[in-house]
Amino acid sequence: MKKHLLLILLLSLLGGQAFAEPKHGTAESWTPVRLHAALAAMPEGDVERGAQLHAALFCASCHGERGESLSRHWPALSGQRAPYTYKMMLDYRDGLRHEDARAEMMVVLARMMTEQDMADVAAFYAAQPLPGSAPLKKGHPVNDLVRRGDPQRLITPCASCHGVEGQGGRNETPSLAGQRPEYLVRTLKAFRDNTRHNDVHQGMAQFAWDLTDEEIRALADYYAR
Amino acid sequence: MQRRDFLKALGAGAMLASGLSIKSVFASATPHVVIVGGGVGGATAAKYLKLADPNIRVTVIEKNPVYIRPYGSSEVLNDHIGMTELEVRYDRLRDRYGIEFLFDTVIGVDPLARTVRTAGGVQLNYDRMIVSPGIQLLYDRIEGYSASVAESRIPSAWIPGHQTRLLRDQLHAMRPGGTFVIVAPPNPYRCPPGPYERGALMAEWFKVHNPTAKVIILDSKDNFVPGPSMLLGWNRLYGYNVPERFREGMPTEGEWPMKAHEEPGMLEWVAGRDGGRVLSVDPAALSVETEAGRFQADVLNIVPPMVAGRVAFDLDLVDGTGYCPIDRRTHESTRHPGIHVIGDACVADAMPKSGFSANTQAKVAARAVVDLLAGRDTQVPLWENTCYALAGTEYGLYVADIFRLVDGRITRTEGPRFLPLDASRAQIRIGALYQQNWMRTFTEDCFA
Amino acid sequence: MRRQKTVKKFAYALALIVALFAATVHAQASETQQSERPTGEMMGNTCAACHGTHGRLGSAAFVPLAGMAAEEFVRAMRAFRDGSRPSTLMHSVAVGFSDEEYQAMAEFFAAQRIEE
Repeated sequence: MKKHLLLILLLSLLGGQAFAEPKHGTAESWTPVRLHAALAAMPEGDVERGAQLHAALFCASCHGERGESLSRHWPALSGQRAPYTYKMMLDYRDGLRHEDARAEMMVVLARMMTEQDMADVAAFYAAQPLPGSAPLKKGHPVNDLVRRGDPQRLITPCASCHGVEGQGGRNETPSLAGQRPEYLVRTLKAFRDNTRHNDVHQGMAQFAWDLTDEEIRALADYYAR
Repeated sequence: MQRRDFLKALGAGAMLASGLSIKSVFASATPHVVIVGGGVGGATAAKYLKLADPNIRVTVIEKNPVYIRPYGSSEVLNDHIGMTELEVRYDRLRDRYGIEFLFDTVIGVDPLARTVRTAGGVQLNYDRMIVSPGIQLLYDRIEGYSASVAESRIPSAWIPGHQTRLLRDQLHAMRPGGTFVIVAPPNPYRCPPGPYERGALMAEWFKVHNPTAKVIILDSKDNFVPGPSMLLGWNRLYGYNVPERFREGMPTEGEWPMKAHEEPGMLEWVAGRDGGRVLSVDPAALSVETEAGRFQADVLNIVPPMVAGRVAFDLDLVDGTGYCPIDRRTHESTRHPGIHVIGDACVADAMPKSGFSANTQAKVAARAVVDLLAGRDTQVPLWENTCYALAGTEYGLYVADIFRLVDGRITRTEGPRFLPLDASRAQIRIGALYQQNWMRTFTEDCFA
Repeated sequence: MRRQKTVKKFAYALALIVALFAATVHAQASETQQSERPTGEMMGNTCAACHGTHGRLGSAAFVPLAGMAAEEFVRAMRAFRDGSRPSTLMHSVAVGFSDEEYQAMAEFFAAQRIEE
């Protein structure tokens, strides 16, 4: 009996390092109810602990010392809204997000983390400055699309969810301000061709379906640093 | 000799004057470099020649139209990948860089006339030749062993192909509680961590599929690369007890301490000092006789001593060691001028025989060839061997060495070589992730 | 035989003249050192197995180096060397090179085109 207790203690000390690995796609897709519950259950994040994890788990290696991104391969995380970062980590862990080899790496890394760990790094990044800002840009080829949408294609204005300056909106909607343009292009294309599908009821994908390559490039440019 | 002195002097002056390049008036307009061997060394050399100077004509003479990569081939044994994933094609090299391929075997060379002949009856003129023939396994060096035994009953699976498939099938069909015996080769050999990684990956697989199985590695050596970091992995994953002499620096507390297992696990390593050296093998009985006595196997894998690939002997590039002596600065053979030797086949002093070594040696040789063809002085070389290995599918190890030419010998720069014994779980897990990525990026650097 | 000696003498004389010329025109001390040190390209090419040929990488776990700002490269190598930046094997790699060599490699990679 004592041996078993000791084992349980050891395992809990290890902080959940030993956990099962769900296969891709077997986790259930998000619904508004489940999302709401997950975000409500999100632990309170500790910025300092997040900073330590960000170093120890090699996040900095790709995402930069303050999450500002070291190359076009990986997105900037600095200033990103905590609920969004947290949800992305859950999505990687549960195999809901796996659009390419880079995402595959994140799947492995997310499975090394507890939910507290995820909340902590999310808090760390949220505490960093945004890499840029995307205010009104009259004259830009996609300014109308961003501010007014396109009723013909049933595209609501990007700004209505992603914020007046691209800083992100309600719940899990991410900030786009100052994001790596190559990353935004990849992401929009991934939503458009369904290789990325971790959004709630295709809430994001539906707006990408009818975008042209030209528009995607222009949108990335609009929001980029 | 006159010409060379003149060019050297000119070259030296040119180097001092900020590397002004002086094209030799004696070089032909389109120099032709023939490369013998389309493995890691040959392919990398071909590509980097073209990168340095697309005007150089490059022909690779290679026996097999599809390359089967040996690095990472042990991952077929535990079904992590299939045999087809080991296949690498030459299309990218051909289409992207205009490298010509001749799928044939070289049978002779005339170093003075600078011609090379193939079994298919082709004769090519070359200005410089690079030979990268890899290794050949000396099955006959072990009493009772032979090439036909290896092909049918006791595979080596050190040059991938049929024997790899055979070994995989044998391991998967092994009876419950059976014993898998690996005979590790003596130094020098291709891929130092290989036999130990293979034993570890199979122990990991057996834990799930054949939990009462045993894995025994018989060795004539007392140590191996990457040494203690692999032993610690075995201790953590397979219940292996680390021998006293390796325990210094092992973590005894913290995240993942080394343990003393009351009941040792399935993996055993019999070092040379403990009698692990194999004296003979009995293919019918599947047993080996060692200095410590007889070992009975259900599956037996022998990696015999090896020397330079056969074509190196055919071209008279080999000395008494069984490998090819070279000018360390340029990889040019010291036995025949105009022919450079790279990869496992060459004598490279402190460098291990590995894919990574072949890759960096190819780049040094390619640069030297380009400079020599242009009549420039050759450059100071630098080599590296930084590659990942596994103690388990999620347990990454590495060796990282840098080599420089010091007093005419390729010398390892002092520094930390291996995964530290106090590495965090994250480092270990990520190391395994990097190892998988490295397989792809390394293959691209050589073949794409 | 005599002709060989004459050519040799001429060659050495020529080398001397060129060297003197080089020494006067290029006064920097690093010039002589450069001819004994491996070039940025020679060293940089050892990185390709992980970081891509000439630092150009498609989708992978490692940082592409092509086009990286030289100061960023040097800063990263220094951080790997002193351990302030966690790594698997980059610490070992960084320890093997000097600051001047970091700079040479940085300049090599900074000049590489990014296109994948």
